[in-house]
Amino acid sequence: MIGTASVVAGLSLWQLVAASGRLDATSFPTTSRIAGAGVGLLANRPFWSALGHTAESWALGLLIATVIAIPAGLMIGSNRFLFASTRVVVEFLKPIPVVAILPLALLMFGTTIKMKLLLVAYGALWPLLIQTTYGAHDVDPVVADTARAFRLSYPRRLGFVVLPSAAPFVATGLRLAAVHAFVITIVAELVAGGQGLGLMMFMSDNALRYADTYALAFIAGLLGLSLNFVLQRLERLSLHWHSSQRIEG
Amino acid sequence: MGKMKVWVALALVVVVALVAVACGGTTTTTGATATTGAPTETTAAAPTETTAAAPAELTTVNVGVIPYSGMGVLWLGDQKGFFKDHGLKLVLVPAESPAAVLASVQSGQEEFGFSTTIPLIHAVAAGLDVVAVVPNDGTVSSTESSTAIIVPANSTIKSAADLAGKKVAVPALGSEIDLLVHAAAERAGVDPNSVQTVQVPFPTMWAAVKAGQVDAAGTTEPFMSQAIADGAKNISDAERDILGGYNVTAFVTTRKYAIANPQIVKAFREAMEESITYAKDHLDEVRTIIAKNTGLDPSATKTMSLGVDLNPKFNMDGLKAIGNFMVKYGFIKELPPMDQIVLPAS
Repeated sequence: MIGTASVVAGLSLWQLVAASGRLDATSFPTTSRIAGAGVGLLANRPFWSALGHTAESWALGLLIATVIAIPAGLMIGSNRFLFASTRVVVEFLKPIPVVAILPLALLMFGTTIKMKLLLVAYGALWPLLIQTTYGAHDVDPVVADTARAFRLSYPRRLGFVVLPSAAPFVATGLRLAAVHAFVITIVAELVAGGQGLGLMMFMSDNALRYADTYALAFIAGLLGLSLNFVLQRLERLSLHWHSSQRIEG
Repeated sequence: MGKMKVWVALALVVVVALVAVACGGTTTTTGATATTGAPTETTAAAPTETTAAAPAELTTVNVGVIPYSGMGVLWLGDQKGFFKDHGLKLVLVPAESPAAVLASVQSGQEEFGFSTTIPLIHAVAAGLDVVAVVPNDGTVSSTESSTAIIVPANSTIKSAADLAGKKVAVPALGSEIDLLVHAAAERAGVDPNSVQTVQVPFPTMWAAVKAGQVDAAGTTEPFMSQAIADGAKNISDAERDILGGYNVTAFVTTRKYAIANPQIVKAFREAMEESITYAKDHLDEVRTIIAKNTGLDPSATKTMSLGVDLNPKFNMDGLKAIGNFMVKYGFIKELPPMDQIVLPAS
């Protein structure tokens, strides 16, 4: 309730300031003009086609990151040797901003979806890997010993003991990675190239349609917000059995 | 049973991903933000470009473009079917800077690409295999100006002679406009090293000038007309005065590709030359397609200067002069041989 009210207040303030003429009218269109531009965008095919491209890159990149990060994280977290030996490498690679490897990705793949996938997968990998690792690290020792006593094979142990136990961490990691991946997709499109919402922003800039640019940025923000919300609900649904959810009550 | 839900959730992510792959990338864009031809790149789920509609003899080539008002001739030529007449089907891949296009061409992701000649010479001097094949539209107009140095209406800067010690916005360091600012200052008797150039993207340049973050800006159409309509003063038609008659845009390929596919390169060159020759007598059609493909207001495209003398042949002396400028201002150490910059027509 308070959240929605503050958003409305912010938008109204923008409208007032922009309409007052104190700010340059072309660079700061009013909220009503931005809303109008947004509606215009949503009503036309090019927006949805661009959204499809962005969604495609986002989903594929996230998938690649997930397929690598979750098994790797489970293995690293549950094995003391792996954990110790990979820690420095992970800590070193983690803070490298994705935009820093953008020129490398461009040189390798040009302005294609492969370039975007490299960046998205790289950016989404680290939060997911680290979350999964720490989740796997925290398996209840009694459960772990029971699994070993029953002589469960390594893959079964990972899949049916470690993964469910680490599930809340993995879910949080997935949520972070998903939103992160979305941001990176748009940035890659905006700065480097490739079809999608980012390219639409670039083109509306070049066409001097700044209200469109603002509208697209706002829509992207809304998309990220709903992504976060959907994933939270999914997390709640699929993990209702976990002890961590019970404590939250 | 609850633990299965974790797997279900993960499976859901996978399904969503696959659905998104299937849905995205197969639609063709139309309208204001369109690029002509199928926009899909190499993904497994997307249909291949050689669909049943296209005759079997057409060779598909990927062409890197920057979707701005300078692409008018290519767009028009493609629309008119000149490329199809030469056996080529163009797939236009959008990028946002010549550097990105050059990287794509160099890496083999695209067969041809649009570039301004200064980044091209940079690339050749840096050892990249790219080489120019055909002009994009022609040479810089010696009469019309489409690139200028602008200042606020109340600025103390009246001409290029007042640029000493000032901060000027350019779209990229080492770019054509960066070169022009230095050359304009030098011509006006100012030490070019005293002018400080700062990187600002075109759409934000005029706002930066008005806010006082920079003293002047080297800008181009359509941003130039927009700024002047908003009160900016043009203190130097630098491009027209210094690079008039020279080529500043071109289509490039790699020498490796040109050696392996001389017929395709020849076909591309000839189709482009035909497009330029056609565009010369049909400038109104060029303006129409620019408005359609960029989303610019048609009233803006009718009046803005195209800034080119349409000419299908390179001005080789002009390119050499540009290269010498680049050496003079320290952009490159030495000028590469001209046949590495422009592919000799065989």
